[in-house]
Formats: sequence, structure tokens, C-alpha cells
Amino acid sequence: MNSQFNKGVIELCVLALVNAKDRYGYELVERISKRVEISEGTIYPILRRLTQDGFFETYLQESSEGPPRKYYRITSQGREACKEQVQQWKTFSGHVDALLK
Amino acid sequence: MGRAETKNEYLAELGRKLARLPESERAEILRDHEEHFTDALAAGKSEAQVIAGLGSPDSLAQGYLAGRILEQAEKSTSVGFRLVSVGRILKSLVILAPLNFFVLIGPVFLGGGLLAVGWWVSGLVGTIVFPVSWSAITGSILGVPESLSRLSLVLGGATGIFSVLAMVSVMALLTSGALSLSLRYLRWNLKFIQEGK
Repeated sequence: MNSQFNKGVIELCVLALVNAKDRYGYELVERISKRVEISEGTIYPILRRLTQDGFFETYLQESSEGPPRKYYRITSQGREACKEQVQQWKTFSGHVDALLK
Repeated sequence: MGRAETKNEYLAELGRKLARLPESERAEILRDHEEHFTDALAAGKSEAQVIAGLGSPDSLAQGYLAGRILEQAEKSTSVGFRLVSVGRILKSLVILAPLNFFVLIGPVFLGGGLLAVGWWVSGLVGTIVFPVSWSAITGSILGVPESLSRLSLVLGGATGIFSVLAMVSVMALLTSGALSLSLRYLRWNLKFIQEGK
């Protein structure tokens, strides 16, 4: 896959995945990299920025793998942003699909 | 500095590169990446694979540093601070993606050049018009025809001073507008580089 297509979309994927349920960093890396070719280092700066922008809250939870994991939970502000971005993406990809037909 | 080949070397190198961040933020970022190592190793990856996936500690750190400076600059209202920040972010972005230099150089030179010329012209005009206007108001101006009344001199001087002030205000507005625009552009540029990798 052409990595040019990734730009801007990774953030949307992170938002949508955390919107569905609370998640931790590696879980997001795995889920996204299974379908989209990304550098694994991409996700953590995005998580940090979205948290700083008030879209996510974080909390620590014990894990069986060792030290506690940091979980990301969406805020109401994040939910709004997610809704808006998903809508924009649908409009955009719909137009592109129509052009490709 | 050697290449980081193990988890501990990688985290130590990342920590060194993040030395300019506040301690709490630095510790938080290191914690996140340590967790990444723990989870990835538990999932059966080798340390070398995890390191290859993360990219060099330097480019990871530059992304965080640029993000932090951007955040502070966006909050600040000081033109000087924002100007210095734009310079520092440009540096990080070029280290992060060397080819980016060619994308950034045009707008920076064009915008910076226009602003510099604007300030230079206003400075030049100001240093001529301001003293003349002032002496017209105070009546100490020399070589004025007798026919000009005192009132018209004062009005003329006031207009001169007002024009200089207006010019400087416009330049100040343009400068702070250009800075806000630059910060927005750099934010976008950073996102673009980080997600495109």
C-alpha cells in the first residue's frame, strides 16, 4: 500500500478505535498495523497529542504481562471530534469511489 | 554514539534525546515506550524487531520535541517567543525529514523576506517622518514658508505621527498573523511527516 494514503487517516483510526472501547498503546499498534502499513513509532506521538488536545483521558490498569498498562478513554470532546472526522472521511471516500467507478 | 541494539540501549538513548523536555513529560514518554517493548516482546517479537518498528530514537525524540515546542508556541502570545519557536521547530522538522528542507525553505524565505522588507521600510520612513512631524507640532521646524499657519503645521505633524504609528501597527499585525499561520502549517507538516512513515 502506498504510504502517502496514510497521512491524516491514522489519527482517524486511533480516534475511532478508542471511541469503540478503552484501549492501550500496543493494542492500537497491532490493530492498525494489521491493516495499514505504518511505523509502530507513529502511534505513540498521536496518542500523546490527542490526549493533550483533550480528546482522550488515560488511566493505568494492571496487566498479566507485567507492569500496569496505560489505557486511553475517549472524552466527550473526543467523541465529537471522532464523529465529525468519520463524517468527513465518509464524504471524501464516497466522492473518490464515485470518481473511480 | 552507537546504534541502539537492545531495549535498554534504545530507551536510554531516547531518554538522552528528550533531555530538553520537562522531567515528568520525559518520564511519561519513556514509560509509554517501555510498555510497548513489554507488550511486543510478550507477543513474541525480538528486541531488534521492536527497535526496527519504532525507528531511530533520534527521529522519535525530534517528533516529540517539535510537538512540545509547537504546543507552547500556540499557547504563547509573545511574538519573540513564537518567532524563536518557529526556528526551533523548523530545525527539528529538517532533522526528522531532511527532504522537508526543500519544502520549507521557500515559504520561510518568502514570508520572512517580505516581513523583513516591510519592517525595514517602516523603520526607514519612521526615522525620517517622526522627527519632522514632531518638530512641526512643537514649532521648532525650520525652513517653513511664512504662509503656513501654526494650526496646519500641528495638523500636518499629527498626521505624520499617526501614519507612522499606523504603519508600525499594520506590520505588527502582519507579523503576528504570519506567525500564527506558520505554526498552523508546521503543525500540519509534523503530522504529515509522522503519519507518512
